[in-house]
Amino acid sequence: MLKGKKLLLEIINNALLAYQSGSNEQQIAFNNTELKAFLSTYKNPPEDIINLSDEMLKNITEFIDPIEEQKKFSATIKYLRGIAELNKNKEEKMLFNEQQKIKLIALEELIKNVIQHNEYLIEHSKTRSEKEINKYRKILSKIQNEEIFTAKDYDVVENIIHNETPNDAESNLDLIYTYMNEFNARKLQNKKEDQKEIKEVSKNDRTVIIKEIVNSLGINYDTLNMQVKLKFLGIKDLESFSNLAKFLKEEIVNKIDSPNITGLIYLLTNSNKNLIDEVITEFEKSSIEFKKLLNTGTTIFSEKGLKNFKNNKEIFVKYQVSLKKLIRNNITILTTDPDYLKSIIRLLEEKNINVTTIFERIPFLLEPKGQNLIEKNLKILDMYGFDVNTFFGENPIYTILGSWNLASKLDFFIEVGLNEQIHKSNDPGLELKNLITKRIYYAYKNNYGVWTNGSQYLSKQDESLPFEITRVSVPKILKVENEEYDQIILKNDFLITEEIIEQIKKDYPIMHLIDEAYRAAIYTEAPVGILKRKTEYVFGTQIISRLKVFKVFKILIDLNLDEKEALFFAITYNTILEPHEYDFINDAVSKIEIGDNYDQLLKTA
Amino acid sequence: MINYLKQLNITEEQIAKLNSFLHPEILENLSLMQNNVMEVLSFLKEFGVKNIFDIVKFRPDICFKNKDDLIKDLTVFDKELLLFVFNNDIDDLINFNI
Repeated sequence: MLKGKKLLLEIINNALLAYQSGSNEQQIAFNNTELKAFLSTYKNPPEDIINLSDEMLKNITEFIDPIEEQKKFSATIKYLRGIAELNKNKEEKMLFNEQQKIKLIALEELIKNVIQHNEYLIEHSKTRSEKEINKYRKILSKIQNEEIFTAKDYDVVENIIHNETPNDAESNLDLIYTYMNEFNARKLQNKKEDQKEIKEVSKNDRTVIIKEIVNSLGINYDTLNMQVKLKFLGIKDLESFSNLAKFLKEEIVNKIDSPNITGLIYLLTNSNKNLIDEVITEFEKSSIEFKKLLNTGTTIFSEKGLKNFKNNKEIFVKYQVSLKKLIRNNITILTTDPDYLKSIIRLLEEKNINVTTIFERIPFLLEPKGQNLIEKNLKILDMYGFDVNTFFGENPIYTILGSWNLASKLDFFIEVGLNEQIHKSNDPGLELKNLITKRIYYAYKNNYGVWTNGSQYLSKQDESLPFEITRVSVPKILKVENEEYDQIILKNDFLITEEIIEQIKKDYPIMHLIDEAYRAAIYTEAPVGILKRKTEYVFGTQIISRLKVFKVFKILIDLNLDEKEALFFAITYNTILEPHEYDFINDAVSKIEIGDNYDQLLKTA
Repeated sequence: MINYLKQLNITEEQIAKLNSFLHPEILENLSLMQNNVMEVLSFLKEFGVKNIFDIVKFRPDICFKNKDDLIKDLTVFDKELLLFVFNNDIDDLINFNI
């Protein structure tokens, strides 16, 4: 590395010297002529040295480094020249010793070098501009100040080397680049370590400041989780952060009875004084407490939350929704994405559903996923033979739209023989809602499960409830873990459609047979006939939901259950059976053979 | 985000189920409003509700209600009947205007 550095310094210094010498080019040329003339007569050094003038000697010795050597060499040469002067007039001459002879040879070599150097200076002094020479100086300065070489510097150095040492450019560049690369690598490493140290110090300072600000609000910074801490550490403007904390401490904290740490953290990281003031002003008119807003509608204090609210306010006004009712029943709707609200409103209006009622009475339907639930329940109603446009009567109660398991409730009412009653009602929506309420009361009074015959609602945690009824007989036949299948069916959100039913019948002839043999024997085109054939099977005295059978059969077949086992499980799933009904279904399923013709099958039914 | 629900005996497995079932916006609200959520769910637990997991899963809106407002809603009905509904099928709460 040192070799490269030395070489680069030497080349640049020579170039600068040549540039500086440009002004006395004539003098250099004159000196060279003198030196050349001297050399041409320097045949017998011990005598010819008398032709070397003091001026010439001075010009030569200037090239000797260090200065002490210049004086020493100059003195020796002058001494030898003096001897030569003396010998000139004497017959008996003084002889030079070997050391002195060597000095005379060195003088000749030195003169030759100086001539060569001067020629170089003369040649190159014409080709360097001031601009170029500044680049040379810049590189020199970088070397002296130990600054990192940039990519541009590499280009400059390459030019210098090619200009100044054209014959040895490649080998010189090798040495010089090695030096530059090694120097840069060392320098960068040092810089990285220095920066790391500076960064750590500044990071530590920031953490201390942030910690103090957070703690000033009664929040123990040390107990916060890493995610929250990172959020704080990501704050760029510490001054604004400090001012916000001061504002919260002076104006807001006293409005909160018990410390709402997460609320305060949200305000610190997602809000500012203006937003908070705006929210307060907005809700003062409706006498909504700040505490309630922060506790139950925190996101309204963010820029996005407030913007959503302002847009949603237009919707609330349009549909005359009471803000107070909405805040009481589901405050999160205030900040829901307005586009989502608009899309759900479109859906409701398409089905003639009163938007205001949904907002005020069942606002959870407007939450994310609410639209999916509404759409799913409307499809279920359609599948079970209801006209969704007339389902909700003059005093609509839309609660069933919020049901997560509407299909199983409808299956239940079909299997207890109430299908026709619901459909014949002038207000099927109200009729269904009333039946649901009655069933709940009945189950409550009699300690039954409300919608189950033993396969409990999926996540029921209390196993000791008295209404649990165990479906004992089925496992003996199926030899499978019923509970496991019950849970899979409960979890499955699969929605049966007529298209799926037709496909199942094609894929599994057993289902085609059962569909032909056990549907209600009402072959009129009257609505009730169509409805019953669409939704019911009749096994002896027991009605079974046809749609339930297809849905459960499909789920079980997809789990690779045997066709007959799947069918039997599907028919008896969640059904309350008398022993003779159970035997009837068992016989019916056992007798079905894929090769049977329909007539034979129908006779056995 | 909603790990604090473990304080109400909701298991790690159930929290994982909630994380995959609930919409991210609801999860964010559950996280942000944990003071209110804990206040409401602790009250319901004390009231006798065993089905805390189902409330969070199917009716998170209840968690965002003001506790005092919720108490007013609940006192309209017979406590035992309400507990029967809560502990049986959360789906039916809506028929009691909850």
